[in-house]
Amino acid sequence: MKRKLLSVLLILVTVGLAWLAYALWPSEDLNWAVTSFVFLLLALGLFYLRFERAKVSSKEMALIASLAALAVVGRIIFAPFPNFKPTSYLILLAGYVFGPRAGFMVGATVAVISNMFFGQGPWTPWQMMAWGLIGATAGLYGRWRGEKVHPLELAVFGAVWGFLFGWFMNTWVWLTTFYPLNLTTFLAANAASVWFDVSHATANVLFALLLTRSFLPILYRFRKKLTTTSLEVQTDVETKN
Amino acid sequence: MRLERFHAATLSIYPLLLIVLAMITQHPLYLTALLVVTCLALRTAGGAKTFIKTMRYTWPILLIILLINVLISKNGATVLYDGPRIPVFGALRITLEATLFGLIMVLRLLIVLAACSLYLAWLPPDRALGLMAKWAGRSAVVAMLTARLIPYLTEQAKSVGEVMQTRGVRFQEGSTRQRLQKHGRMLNVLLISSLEGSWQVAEAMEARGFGSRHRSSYTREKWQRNDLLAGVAMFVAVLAMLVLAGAGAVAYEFYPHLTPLLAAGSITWVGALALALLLAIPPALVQRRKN
Repeated sequence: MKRKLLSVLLILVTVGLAWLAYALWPSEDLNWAVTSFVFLLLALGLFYLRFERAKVSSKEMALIASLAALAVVGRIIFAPFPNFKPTSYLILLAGYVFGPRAGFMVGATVAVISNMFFGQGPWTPWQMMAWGLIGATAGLYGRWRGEKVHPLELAVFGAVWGFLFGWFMNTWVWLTTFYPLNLTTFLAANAASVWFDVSHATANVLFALLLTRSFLPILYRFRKKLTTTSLEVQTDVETKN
Repeated sequence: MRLERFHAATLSIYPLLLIVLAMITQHPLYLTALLVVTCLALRTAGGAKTFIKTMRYTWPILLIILLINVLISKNGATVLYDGPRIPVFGALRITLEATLFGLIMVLRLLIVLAACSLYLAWLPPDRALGLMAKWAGRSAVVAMLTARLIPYLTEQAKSVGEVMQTRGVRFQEGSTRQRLQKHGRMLNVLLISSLEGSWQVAEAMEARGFGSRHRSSYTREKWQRNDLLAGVAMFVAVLAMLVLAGAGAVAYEFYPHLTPLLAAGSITWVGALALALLLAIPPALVQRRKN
């Protein structure tokens, strides 16, 4: 209950800040660069807070770390294919099987750690959020669709996120460096990266079609292992009745 | 190491402050002042190399930002070039205001990129994760485990690939689809072994008492006099920025006409200088020799 209250409080503070920002600087005077940055940090904080407060077993933590590491190493394995990386697909799958919380953590951890190897920058928090959201939404989708999902569904899901990911990453650059903020400049900002987005979406589709049939059963088997519960050992058995 | 004389929190707040200040103002004088301070700070810990490395792959983004701003924005009044109509962009009209706006935005992103390099130079990953462990213990453990597993999994990937090759799998041959499938199989083996491995990691954690009680924490980070000085300097810098914003000194409009550089009078340049001096205090403290 206390946990929920804290989350609700944080959301209320965020909404309050948004309202305050609008009230103080109506329409075009609002500094979108700072506002979006503050909201991003608040949202990331909320997700991390949820993870910290939840009863997460050491098995789940080790599992999240393993899947995140695999998603990073997947980039190295597929180095011969410069445009096709299984990272987003693996995050999607992790979220799909292990739920939104684990999915978000896998995505966010991949962003932080892989950038330690490939270069940190102002894009890191946005990447954390974008990959985290892939995992979290896949988790919600997985709860709804369950084990008997067709690879094609995941392919469509991955294709949509391939583009959303790119747009999300471009949004901050758009908000920070463009004027006026309208549809034309937004489209122009996204047109510059359209080939990256197309190849990202294609990679997600290809990996979903190629790997889902073999990867999904493995992950579900491990999920079953994760959810086994240990029982208390009965030391003095009372058999009076 | 001089950076050891500071708390990790101070070292991480300073670059963040530079980024936020760069996003607040778009006044050329203030942005120039911020860039100078950021570059000075980069020099204290050899972060210039990281910055140049980052620039090697980020310069196309900066160029695109400049080009789109110049080509799309039609709000400027001083026309430099009036060209023909282009199907997607509409009439091609390059204005002085849009060009300067694009350049200033590139300057703004340069500060952000330099501040990120500074963050990396001042705060090595293990100190950053250590700081994170203070506030978010579980997430930090997950991040540390991931960082530790990557070299291990890379090694494993190599040996899995070698075993597959000895069994006759030719990774370089076949169509793209076939090659992707072969690499996919490699990933499959790695998935199973890494998941099995995660169980062992969890058992090892439990065996060492993870999660059984409140976690004991040990940290080398200490609040020192330097942190107080840097903290005061940063706080006063924020206050100064608020006061200057209130006086209208940090505002700058590009469209439709450029506002004069010193629209608010001499308070503009005095303010920029004062802000730069205040923000130069933390790097100066880092630079200072121990007496």
